[in-house]
Amino acid sequence: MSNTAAEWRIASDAQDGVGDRAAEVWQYRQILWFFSVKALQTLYAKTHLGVWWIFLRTLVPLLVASFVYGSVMNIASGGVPYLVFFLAAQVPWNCFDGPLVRGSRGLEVNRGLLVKLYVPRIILPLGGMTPGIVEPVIVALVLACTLIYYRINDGIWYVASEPRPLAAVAALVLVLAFTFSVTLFTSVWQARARDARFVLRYVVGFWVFFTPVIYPLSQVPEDLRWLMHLNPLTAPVETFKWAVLPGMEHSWTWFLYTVAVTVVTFFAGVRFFLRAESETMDKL
Amino acid sequence: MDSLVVDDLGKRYFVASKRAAMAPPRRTLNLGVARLPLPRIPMPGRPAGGSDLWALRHATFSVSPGTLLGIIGSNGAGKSTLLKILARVTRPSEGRVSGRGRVVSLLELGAGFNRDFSAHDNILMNAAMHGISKREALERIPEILEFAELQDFTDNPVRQYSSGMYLRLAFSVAINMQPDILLADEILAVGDMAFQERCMERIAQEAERGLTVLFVSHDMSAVARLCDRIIWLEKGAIAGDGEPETMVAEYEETALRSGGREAVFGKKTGRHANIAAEIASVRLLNALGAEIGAAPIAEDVYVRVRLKARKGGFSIRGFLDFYSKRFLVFRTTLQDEVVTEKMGVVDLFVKIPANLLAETAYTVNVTVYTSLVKETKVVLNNALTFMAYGHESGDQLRRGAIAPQLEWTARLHPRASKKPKAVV
Repeated sequence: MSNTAAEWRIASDAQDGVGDRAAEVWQYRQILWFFSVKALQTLYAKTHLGVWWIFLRTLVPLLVASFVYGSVMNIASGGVPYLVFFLAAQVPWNCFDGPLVRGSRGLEVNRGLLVKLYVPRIILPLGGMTPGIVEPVIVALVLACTLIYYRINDGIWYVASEPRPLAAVAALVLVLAFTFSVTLFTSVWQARARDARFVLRYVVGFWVFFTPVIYPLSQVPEDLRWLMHLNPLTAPVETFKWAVLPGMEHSWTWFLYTVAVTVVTFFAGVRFFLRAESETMDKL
Repeated sequence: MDSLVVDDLGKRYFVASKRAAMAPPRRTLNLGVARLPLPRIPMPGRPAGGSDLWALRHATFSVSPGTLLGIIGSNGAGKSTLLKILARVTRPSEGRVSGRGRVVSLLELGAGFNRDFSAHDNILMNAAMHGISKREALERIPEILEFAELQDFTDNPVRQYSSGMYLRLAFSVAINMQPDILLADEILAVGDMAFQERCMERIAQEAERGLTVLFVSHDMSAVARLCDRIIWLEKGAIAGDGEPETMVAEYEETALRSGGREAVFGKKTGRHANIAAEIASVRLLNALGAEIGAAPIAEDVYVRVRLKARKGGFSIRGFLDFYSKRFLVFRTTLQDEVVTEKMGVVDLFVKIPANLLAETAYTVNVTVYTSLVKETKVVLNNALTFMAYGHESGDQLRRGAIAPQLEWTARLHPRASKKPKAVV
């Protein structure tokens, strides 16, 4: 009927090349938007406060934590008010925390659709991740408000003397790319066994303590810092703080290390996902 | 050039054995106050206590463009598995398929719809889920809405739609995406008569232009009417392939008879008319009043007994007997007498609620008492035979002569073991 009646094949032993898969994802790219909207919708559907939950859920724990760590425990904050330090570190951290948990659910929550309609499933963890991006944006907005507050009250801009917006964005993008690479594994695990959800919660809960989010890296004994840096999230968090706040340090070398880790995780993840995909679908 | 070539296709599922499935889930750790399940250490290789099940095996056939191909078979014969493989929802365990052109699947009407989106957005989303560009989808929107007769409801979220509107939209989206191959699982029984007719007309039109359609259906009369060719699957293998009339006849003889020695499709017998009335027809209808040939278990269906009253002013009582495999499964009786006022047609509707029937074939015997001067009865045995089918194939939920969905509750008695044992 259509002149472009392209031939296609389905075979039990077919291993499509990564190029074919990438082209397919590109063809289906529009569903990413619909899945994102759906994920965002279901998040706060049937709540009275609706979209305000996003603010409440994001901010209240942050403010409480900031009070406990900064005012009660007096954790050092490298020359800026603790709240500013903490919020600045939370922006990249929130690019990991929420998106990871949400993206991992991507296959599981769309079960009903996946058994009836074919879509490139690799889009689903990504679609699940996207509402998680709202939270770092909110934290960033609050950070901006806090900075303005201190400017008015103390008369000081707690901003890097020469802010590096490109570096800041690069750090966030890197965190998101790393997160997506991880969800390629976790979404499959979670579709197979719900245990993954609990494990994930714990791992993320501990992971924050091994990332310089609550405390500055300078508090860590110098001979142990390389250990902290093995955590691929350390470098982008440090880079983001360095790009935004005054008097911070970071290392492009470790940043490149995270890039390398992300690239490796990504390709391993794609390979894992594509191999596990069909078997997982039958078990959904 | 064939539009679809299926070569030695097979799909294997791993089925846990009954014992493995029914066994207490796993070892537990008794802490005195609570029992914790111990993790099951996954062992490499096949899990113990199960076997392979070939849902489909050695399926080989090809389809030329413009064919309306019906796929029939009893529950668990592999029909849906075949469609799922072609729709790429599941991957074959062996074999190959090659095809030409765009495949649109309707494994479930409205799969991939978002009930909070408007019709407009749902069309775009559905197009996107078939990998169709936004530009193309936007061009099609007017046609889609026109065919579904929903022009006035474009911006309402589809959750406000009636089930009929929802189905019209879903079908209209699929057919207007200009598929070269349309995969349809059990969609013939939906919608009202008029829309069904329009769907079939439209499918026939598209078929002339080269559209190939694969229907899976339990509705033999519909399949025989619509299709050019039928493939009959039994236990995962192709049992027959050919002319619709021949295939349906063979299938009904073999598959439906296997339950009992006596023909399930028995001859209509009984004295079906008396001085007061005559049983004119007994039909199975869906909720929208359209005649169907098979009953979807998850939906309400109706048995309509049409009586021709030859006189006025008599009262009617009656009952229906539902048989499965020669056994009376249940009898349902008309509660109150119905009084006919004039001569003419009297329709008695019996609603069979959703989630009552099992996946099997039923035969209905009709008995109606008419009391004009004295009470006499009219009887029509084997008045209606139909299959009931579920959508989730391969499960064990719909076994037996009926499979009603009953209310289950669980009540936990903490520390019951410490008290003296209650008499049960």
